Amino acid sequence: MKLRQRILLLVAVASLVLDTVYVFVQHAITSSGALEGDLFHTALVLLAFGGGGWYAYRAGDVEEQRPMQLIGRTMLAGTLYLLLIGIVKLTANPSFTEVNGIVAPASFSSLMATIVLAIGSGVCAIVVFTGLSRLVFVKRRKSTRRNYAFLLTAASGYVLLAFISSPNGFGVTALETVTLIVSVLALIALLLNAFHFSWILMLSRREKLITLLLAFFGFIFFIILSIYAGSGETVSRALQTYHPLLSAFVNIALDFGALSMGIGFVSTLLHLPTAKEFDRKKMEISTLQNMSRLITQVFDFDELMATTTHLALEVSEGHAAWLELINGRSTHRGNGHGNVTDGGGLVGPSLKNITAVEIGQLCGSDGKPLRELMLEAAHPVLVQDFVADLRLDESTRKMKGIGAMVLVPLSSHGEITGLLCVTRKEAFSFDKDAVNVLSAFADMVSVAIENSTLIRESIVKERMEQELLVAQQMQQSLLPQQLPAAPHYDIAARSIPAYEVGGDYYDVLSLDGNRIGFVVGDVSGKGVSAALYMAQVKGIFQSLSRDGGASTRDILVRMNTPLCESMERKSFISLLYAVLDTDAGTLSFSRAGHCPLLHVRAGEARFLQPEGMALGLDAGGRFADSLREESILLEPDDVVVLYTDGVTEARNAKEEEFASERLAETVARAAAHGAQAILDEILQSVHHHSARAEADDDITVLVLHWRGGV
Amino acid sequence: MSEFSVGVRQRDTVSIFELKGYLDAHTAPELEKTFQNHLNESRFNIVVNFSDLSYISSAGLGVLMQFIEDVRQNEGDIKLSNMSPRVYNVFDLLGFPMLYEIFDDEEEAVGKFLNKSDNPS
Repeated sequence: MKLRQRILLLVAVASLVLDTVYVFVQHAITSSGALEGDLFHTALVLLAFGGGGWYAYRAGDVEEQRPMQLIGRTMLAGTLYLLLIGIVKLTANPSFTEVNGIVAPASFSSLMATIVLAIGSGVCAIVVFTGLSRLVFVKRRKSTRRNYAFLLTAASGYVLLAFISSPNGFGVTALETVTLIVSVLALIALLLNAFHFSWILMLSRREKLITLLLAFFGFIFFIILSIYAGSGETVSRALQTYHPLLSAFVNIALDFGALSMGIGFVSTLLHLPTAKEFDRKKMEISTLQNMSRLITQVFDFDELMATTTHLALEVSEGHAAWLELINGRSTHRGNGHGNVTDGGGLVGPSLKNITAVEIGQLCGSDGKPLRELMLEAAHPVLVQDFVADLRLDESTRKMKGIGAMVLVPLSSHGEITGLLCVTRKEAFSFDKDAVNVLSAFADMVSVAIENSTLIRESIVKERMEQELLVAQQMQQSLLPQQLPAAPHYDIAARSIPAYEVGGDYYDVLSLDGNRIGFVVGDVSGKGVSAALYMAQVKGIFQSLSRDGGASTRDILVRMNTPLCESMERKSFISLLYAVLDTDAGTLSFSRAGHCPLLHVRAGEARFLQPEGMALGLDAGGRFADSLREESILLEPDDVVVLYTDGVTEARNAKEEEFASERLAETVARAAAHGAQAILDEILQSVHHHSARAEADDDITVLVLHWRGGV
Repeated sequence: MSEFSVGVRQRDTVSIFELKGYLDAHTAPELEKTFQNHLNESRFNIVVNFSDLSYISSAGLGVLMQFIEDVRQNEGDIKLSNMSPRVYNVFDLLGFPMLYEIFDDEEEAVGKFLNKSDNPS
């Protein structure tokens, strides 16, 4: 396309050059110098100006041009054309001879001037015609193309007829009626197209003023030009001499210019009084559009607040604005006439052109009555005359810099969630429209803020889930990977974490040659902090239990002090520590606030619950005072079960707990089948009882099956 | 499932918290808030009535532990009353009876506070 255009331009320019040479040659060899009916000359003129016009017309399709630029360019072309005419007249002042109506330049210099004028006219006419054509197509409608086609047809007919009937063309004389009809048709076509000026409405006030000025001068210039070119003046003669086709085309273009400029001037003038209002509406619309875009940009809450006040000022042409959100929405429900309840407050203000101190002053020390005004009303409040409005405190009304004010509520699900306030310096400067626009704006802000809050909440939730995952992984890694086994005993253990509450812990420690330690514990709390306490317990155990001489009681007492120091006040650990002496076949244990130890012998179950309070509750002597140690002398096929309350407190749909009775029965039933079988049986029974996929609490069970045979 | 509420009554200088429903990790913050508000207002004589409490988890017990030190430093106390056997069992297992005074009846607990302030011996 680009290459083709360049070729077109090249052909046009080449034709023009060739034609100029041809015209000079003709002038030299013929005596009159007239070019009437010369077909070669006609062909070259058509190629030069037709090609140039087509090129100019197509070149504009590439980029969309603004109407004002087009008007400006047309005006400029007219001005330059006027200048050219002036210069040619002053310098060369060509003269013409006329024989039988056929015009010809009187001298060589006149010929030169003729050619310069003709080319200038042609270029100007092309610029004007294409520019105005494009203007016709701004904001095109269905009829636009049809009207333009009509214009092209009528204009072509007019140009052709002018050529045929002109003495400098073919000189056919009997065509006056047809020429008249076609001229009228062309005029109608021009008017039809020139009246298409709806784009003026969309211009801003400033642009309208510029357009008005351009159109005014454009109109005057084109009127002058079309009179010049149309009458028997120098220009008209020069064009006739050069070619009647071009002359007619220039006439059409200049008429088009004069009509368009005239109509443009009048239209703009008529639109001018509403221009300011129109500008404001346009601004409102664009701000609302911006705001709807803002709804999607809700990842930064503070930014959202700041942008809101900024846009509120823009949309309302206010002087100052502020936005506040009400904290704890449930306590702040306005109920028509009632008071707003206490508690909560207005938080997270975003201010523009006003300080927090001023707002405080404005609202009084306890935020009344200004906020109350709006919170009670639950609809926008308009204060037209700030100084005189009796709804406001006397001290409030004395504030400087505020003439009028609008308060609009932000609401979500029927509850007021905040307020937006905009002030102006002049009293009575807000109209109903401004209030409506601000209300619509406030609705959008409410949606945006709610979205933002939801996003924040979901991010927090995700973070918490991540934390739980980390805690679970920590918890799992703290559990022993392998359990010791020997011919005279076997051990099985399992801990099943619940979804959220993760505080269970167990460990099996090989102390020295013949002693094994068992720990089952439950850390209060959940998540990472519970897992950290667990790790601490594991560490303390591993260092303290090396002391072979210490009893289980001693070790727990020694543990309590560092745990009390490091743990939060509200946290504690229940724990049972047992030590099996495989040589002696004894199990001694202490219970720090934990579930009792279950001992099953020959189908007989008993729960052993020596005194003892949980770790981390009391840093003084009470822990040691309370703690007792107990011992069992094991017999072959004795079973000992350590567990956490997740087992006995597992509830079914009827809220019945699994309870220690069921645990005892289950263990007694499976006692002969070894530790792993007992463990499996317990877990299955608990699962069967609760019949739920997810347990409420962690479940931990450690089973020791003593085979004996020492 | 996790429905819980705290009702507060005032008897003389004693605040009585009536717990209802399930006190677990999810609902514990509500009890925490009630305690915090009372401590902020320097009300340190507190009786917690458990008569309508169906379940308490370690997180619920943690709330009591969280405030007991502050309360006692201000010459006050947290006394517990009207526990169901099931709830008492949880307290007992952990050794809480060694740390808190637990009464069968709210009346007794309140009386203990009032007698103490009547004869400051």
